[in-house]
This record gives sequence, structure tokens and C-alpha cells, in this order.
Amino acid sequence: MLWTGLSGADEASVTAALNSAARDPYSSAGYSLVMVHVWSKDLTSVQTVINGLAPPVRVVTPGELVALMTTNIAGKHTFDFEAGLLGWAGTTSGKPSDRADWLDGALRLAGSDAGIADTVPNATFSRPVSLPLNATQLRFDTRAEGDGLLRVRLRRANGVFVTLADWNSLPAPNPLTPSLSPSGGEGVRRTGEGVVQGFNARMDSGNSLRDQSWHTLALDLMPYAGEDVTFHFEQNDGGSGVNHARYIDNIGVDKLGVADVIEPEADSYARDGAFASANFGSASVLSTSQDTDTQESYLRFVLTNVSGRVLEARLRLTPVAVTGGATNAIAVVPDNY
Amino acid sequence: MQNLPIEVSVIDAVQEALTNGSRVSFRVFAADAAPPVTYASREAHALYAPRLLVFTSNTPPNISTLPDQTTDETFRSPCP
Repeated sequence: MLWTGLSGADEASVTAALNSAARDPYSSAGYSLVMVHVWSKDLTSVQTVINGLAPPVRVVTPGELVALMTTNIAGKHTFDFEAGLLGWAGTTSGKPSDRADWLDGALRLAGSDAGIADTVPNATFSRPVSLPLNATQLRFDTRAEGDGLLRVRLRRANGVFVTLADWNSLPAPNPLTPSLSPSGGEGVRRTGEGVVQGFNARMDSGNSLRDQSWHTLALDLMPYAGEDVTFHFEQNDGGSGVNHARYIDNIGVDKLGVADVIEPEADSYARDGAFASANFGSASVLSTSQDTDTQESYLRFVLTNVSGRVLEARLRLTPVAVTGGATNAIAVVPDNY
Repeated sequence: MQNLPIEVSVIDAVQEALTNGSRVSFRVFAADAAPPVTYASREAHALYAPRLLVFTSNTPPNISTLPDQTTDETFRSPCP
């Protein structure tokens, strides 16, 4: 910031900080916001800083700054690594052989536990990504050297980590095609009035793909579509050999068609017993229960703006309060409910 | 899990609704003797309100091959 009397807040210091900042438009470190204390600095001070900026540094409006960061950081979904890390940040556990760097157009994750194997990853590459609503798969190429294991996780917005592929259960090295499960499986609900199905990703267990050939893998992202997440690619020493490395290239988020987001035209819930005549149409919650009383929720959507061939449709609900474990079902009902 | 959305596929219902009308309605209920569950309604914050996500493709339709047609080349002059 520019502020008279504060250490490092004079024109020369601010100029030097901006000129030495990361020049990576795909990383948040590549963007700077300078606050100006208007009671001790004026436009002359701002002009002095601008005049001292190195040629690669651009001065943009706040709107342009947000647009650039949105496009280049959160909204970037393909990474070929031909020109660098593209905003992926590498970290290591600190052991002597640990490496997390860019090498020949790919991410290199390497390290060794030096004969004393542990479960702490030697090297990690991570990056925040805003998943579009029509995200389906995380696709990438990988190969191993020596005994380099790979784990892929994502961190959800609430801080919870989800393992997409564990050390010894990488998916089959073929394009993963989400398939509708006709019955059973997590997320699948059946009712007598309608069928609601969930997606199950095919995962072959016991596969660590520890060879030097490039494999294209794909991991299911649909449960996290629309969320701001952080991907983590992690390497660990498999316990044998001398060079335990993993290479990652061509990371991409696959998408399905064009997403239409439709708000409900109407929603409410009904409750029996003493509340049978109550109208909950303006309530901020929808409720279900078959405990002390019966509560059911209803939602209606207008589809007049939907055009083209429908590839998939999903009803998204956000729980507000859940008492213990509860299984809910969904059925199609007439529009005049 | 609270505040994390859940999604269920309703493609069959949407496709049928697009064929037969312009609206689709759902009933959400406890399948068994389940304790209360509340979801954010349309009156809640937009981040948590219910949404129907429809994914479409605008791929042009396939046109079948047309067989050769024979036409009458006899010129008929207009009536005087």
C-alpha cells in the first residue's frame, strides 16, 4: 500500500514489490492490488509508481482485474504445461530428494522416503479451480518412474478433502464414461412413482499404474460440479527402487453440453396433523419427515427456455438441517399439485 | 451434509415434460420412517436455493439420405 510513514509503503518500495512479483497470469500471485491512503498520498504518488513499473506489469481497472483473475485462475480448465506451471503450485515434504517442479512440458513430482516409508506425500501440486455446473470428469495423463505412487484429491469449499483416486486404486487407463446405474449403488433412489438415478464412476481397484508409459485417466467430478475446489496431485514413495517419480500432463475438466440453470417457479411443503391447513409457500425451507408427523416438499419448474437435445438433467437441493441419517426420495407429480 | 448440495438425475422426467408440456414438478419425501430433513427453498439465499440443471446439446439433426427422384420434364405453358 501507499501510506506515508509506514515501512515499505513508499513509492519506491511499492514499485519494487510490483516489479518483482510473479509474472504468471494463471496464479493469484501474478496479480496485485495497491491500496492508497488518500490522506497522506495523492495521484502524484500513484503516477510515480506507475512510471516506475517494468514493461510486463499492466495497470488495469478493478473490473478488468476481476475479469482477468476469473478467466485465468478460477475459470481455466485446461492445462497443457507447454509454457509453464499455469498456476499450479508445487510443495514437498522437505526430504532431500523431494521435487515438485516443471520439466519438459509436464509436472514432475518426485521424492524418496530413503528406505523408511511413510504415508506423507513427498511432492504435491495443487490449484484452485471453479468447476462449471456441467463438469463431468477430471482428465489427465500420467506416468511413473521407479515406484512413484499417485493420489488425486480435491478440497471442497467447506475444507473437506475427497479422494478421487487413491494410491493403489487408480482407474483403468481408458476414458471414463459415466454410466447410469439401473439399480443399486450410492445415490440411487427408486420410488413407485418415478425413478431417480445417480451416476456411478467405474473404478478398478488394485491398480497403481507404476510404469513409464503415459496413461490417460479420468475421474468423476459430477458430484462436485458448480463448486469452487482445489485439486491436489500427490506423489509418494512406493517403497522400492531408487527414483520415485510421477509425471502429470494435459490436465483438463471435461464438460457436458451447455448448462441451463432453472429456478423453481414455485415450491412449498405440506405437513399433516395440526399443520394440515398451513401454507408454507413463503418459507425459506422445504421439509420432509415421516417421524412424528409427515412432511413432503413440492417443486415446479418451467422448461419453456430449454432447447436442443437434453443430455442430462439434475435436481439440485441443498440440505439445511438433517437429524441423523435420513433417506429421501423424489417422484414426479402432476403440475397442479 | 449440510450446505453441500446433493444432486439426483431427473433426465427421464425432464424429457417427458418437454414432450408433453412445459413444466415439470417433483415431490420430495421421506422414503421410510425418516427424521426431519430441511432443504433451502427458493426464498433462501440464491447460493442454496433449489435448481434444475439441464444440460443440452445443439447438435444439428441428422437428415436421412434422399433417394433419386424422377420428375416430369414436359413443359406445360400457362393457360392464355
